[in-house]
Amino acid sequence: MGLKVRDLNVTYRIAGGAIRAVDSVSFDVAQGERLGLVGESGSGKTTTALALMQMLREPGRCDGGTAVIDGTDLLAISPAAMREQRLRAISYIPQGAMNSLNPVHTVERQMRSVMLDHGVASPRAELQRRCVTALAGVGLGAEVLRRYPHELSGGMRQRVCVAIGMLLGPKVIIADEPTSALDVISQRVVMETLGREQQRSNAALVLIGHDIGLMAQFVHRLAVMYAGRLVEIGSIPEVLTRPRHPYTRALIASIPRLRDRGRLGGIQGVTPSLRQLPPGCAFHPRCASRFERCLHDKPLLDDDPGGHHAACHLRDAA
Amino acid sequence: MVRALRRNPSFIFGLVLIVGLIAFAVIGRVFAGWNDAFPLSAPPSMPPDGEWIFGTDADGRDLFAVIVYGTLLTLKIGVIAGCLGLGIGTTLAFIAAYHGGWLDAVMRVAVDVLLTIPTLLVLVVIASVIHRSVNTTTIGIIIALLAWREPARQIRSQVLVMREAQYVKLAILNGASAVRIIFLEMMPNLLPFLGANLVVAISQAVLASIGLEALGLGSPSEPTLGQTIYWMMNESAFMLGLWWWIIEPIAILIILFVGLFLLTAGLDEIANPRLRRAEA
Amino acid sequence: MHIAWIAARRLLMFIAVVWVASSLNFFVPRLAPGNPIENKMMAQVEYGGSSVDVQSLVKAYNAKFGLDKPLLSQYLAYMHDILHFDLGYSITDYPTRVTTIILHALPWTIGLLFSTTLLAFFLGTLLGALSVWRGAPRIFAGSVPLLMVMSAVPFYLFGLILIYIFATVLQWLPLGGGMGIRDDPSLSLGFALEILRHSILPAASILLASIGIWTLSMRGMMVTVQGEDYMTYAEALGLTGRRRFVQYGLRNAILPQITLLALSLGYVLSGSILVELVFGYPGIGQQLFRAIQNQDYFVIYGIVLALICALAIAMLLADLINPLLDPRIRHGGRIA
Repeated sequence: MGLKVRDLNVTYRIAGGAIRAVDSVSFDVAQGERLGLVGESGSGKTTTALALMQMLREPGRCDGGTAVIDGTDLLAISPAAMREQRLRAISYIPQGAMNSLNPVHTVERQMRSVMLDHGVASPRAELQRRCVTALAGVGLGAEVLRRYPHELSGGMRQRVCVAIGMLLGPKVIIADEPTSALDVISQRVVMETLGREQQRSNAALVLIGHDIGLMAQFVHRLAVMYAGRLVEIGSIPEVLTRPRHPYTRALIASIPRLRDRGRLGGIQGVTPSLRQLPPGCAFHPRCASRFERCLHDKPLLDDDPGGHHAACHLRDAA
Repeated sequence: MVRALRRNPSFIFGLVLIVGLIAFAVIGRVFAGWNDAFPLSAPPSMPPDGEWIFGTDADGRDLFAVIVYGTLLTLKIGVIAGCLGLGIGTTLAFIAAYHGGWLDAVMRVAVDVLLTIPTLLVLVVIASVIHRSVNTTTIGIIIALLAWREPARQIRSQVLVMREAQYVKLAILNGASAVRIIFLEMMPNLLPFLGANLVVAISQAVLASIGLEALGLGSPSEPTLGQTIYWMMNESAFMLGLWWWIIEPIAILIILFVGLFLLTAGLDEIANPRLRRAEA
Repeated sequence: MHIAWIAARRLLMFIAVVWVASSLNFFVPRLAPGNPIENKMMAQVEYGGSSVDVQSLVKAYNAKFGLDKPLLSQYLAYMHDILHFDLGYSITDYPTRVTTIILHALPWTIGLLFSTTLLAFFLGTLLGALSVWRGAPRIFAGSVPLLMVMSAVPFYLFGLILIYIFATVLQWLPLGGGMGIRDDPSLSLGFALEILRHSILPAASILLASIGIWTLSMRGMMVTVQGEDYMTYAEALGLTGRRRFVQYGLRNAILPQITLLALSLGYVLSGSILVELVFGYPGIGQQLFRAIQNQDYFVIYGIVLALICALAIAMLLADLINPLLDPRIRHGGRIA
């Protein structure tokens, strides 16, 4: 049950070579569990999500790996079969629902379309009832059904997307930065809504974002991506209190704290361009703890029995 | 810039067609006398052959001369109308957009109303009363009276956008005069856009002129391409089977229109990314 | 209400256009060198066998627009007539009224123009959308360059080519006219077929030459729409390709396309007039040509004004379709 991703690879073929946007990413999300996926812009988080939905566009291609939900490998099935799996098995909640809803259709029409296209053959009244229930689940009244997207606030639109995402009871939900375009109050409402619905349906949730603070309050486990690679994954308490990868350590250290005053920390150096990744460990140019091996040996996620894995050579040195 | 052109096949093809056409006409002048383009200069209704490689029409015009001079005359109308129209339109656009306020509002409404009225109909009204004294130059001027509308509208909106650009605001802060800003700051960025508008204006002017001529309101003696078609239609070229008289002016006009069309498409491609960069 | 405000603005625009057009018709002949209208009427009096009739026209004209009258009263008399739909009489066909001439020719023009424009719009838009849709067969994309180039050619040149190929060389279709020379108008199927036969080439000229316009513009809209977030989300929701194409793609891309239709009506109208000319099709274009040849000024001005008004009405209607299709324009407010 849940989602099992193994060795996911995404390559972009462009003039002058190929770029590995996602490099051998593997992770599991159990039913009812919440996994946070963090990383800087361009680290491959959204690309991973798109790959899982079979929504990559040329010149990007999924180059290998498996993503299994309930015995079905999402990466191996035909596009037609994938269309059926979307929203049923795996559902996607977009970033910034500002423009994600069709501007010329009412909310009800869009929710109905979704059900009809997935073979829900109920009469219209029944469909409407399901829509009302779904909206109630996200704290929106039935009158929203008759509204057009531009008549709703950003927070309301995002909640509508959450409602749509839950309509067919998916096993896995991917929420791609669902709150980054919202004000703090709406953020809280949406996250609470999302959490409640996810718990109620016992779905597996992958929350993509770059706000570790938000993650800390919400997810059970955290996965950190850097330059297309998964560098650390473990339970939230473990990763936050005993981060094993220097990048994670630096990220956590740079979170401003309420009590400490002083200068804001950052991470020295810049994220490497995917066209010119450093050999060996992608992070080594910026790593204070690097040594000889890091310059030419690409580290892989280790086999920690406690479930806290890191892709770093330091573990052997320690 | 050469690299950009290579990636722009429309522009190249268009340029080739137009330049080819002009070259044909200019070189052709050497081989064809102006008088040959008028009636009774050759035996009538002769198919293309030997001495008259383009044949002759029912009035005895040497069609080679007609095509050569007709192309030049038609282009002349287009260029006069296009350049005048663009000039007037640009001037008005700058005045309105730069001044802003009520002047701009009045101009916007006026141009919108005037644009609703089709060119051909206005030309018909005007040309029908001065038909006797019309020649290619006056046709060009009359068309210019209508050709300024679209450039005025387009350039006005461009200038309005540019007025808010950083480099313009900076120039204003530096105390540069309006004239200086317009000619030294804005114009260079507008050039590709103006180029595209000029080609479109010429193209539409030619279209308007042949429409006018087809209705019989053209210059009655000068053998423009449109006039040639008018004579061809009204002197039973189809019935008499004078296919060369039918095909030749149409073919030249098609080359002209397609060439101008491709040129416009090409210039649009050049104009747009440039302007976007100019904003940053 | 928002729509009311939009309608009011468009109505004002319409009134402005009609006013400008009629003023144009009033002032141009009076600004011209010589006195073309008077001259024509005088010439007609001398020429016509029915000189008595035309003289009464001249008398009536002078009563309202005589040179002795001040310009303002002439203008007001003229405007009064216009508002009462009185476009005067034909000089060469006196006592036929200008409005009669127009109304006889109108059905032919509307039939031709209306049907071909709608057909071209429909086909061209669909083709343009399919040419950039990812799921569609590649042949659609391939047809675009040809259609584009064809759209550069004026309608009536196309007409001439078609006449040459199909009427002169192949002789499959008639050379022109609206019906056979020997045909008597009747409600029979045979007559209807004759009309159809005569309409094929004129309709084809307009169709072939204008389809490219819609194709090209729809392509651009469709590409923009395909890049929008709601298209990506629609795919993520697992909606069928057909629904995404029609209800998410077409539906959104068609909004600016309809505005373009409204703006292009003038171009299409002018082109159709010339097409009628080429084919001797008994529509308004043909009447205009006759009037020009005969220097029948009242008919010329009447036709021009009528066409401009028709155009303005059509644009008004097309503008009002926008709020109907786009809820964002309809409202303009939102609930928090």
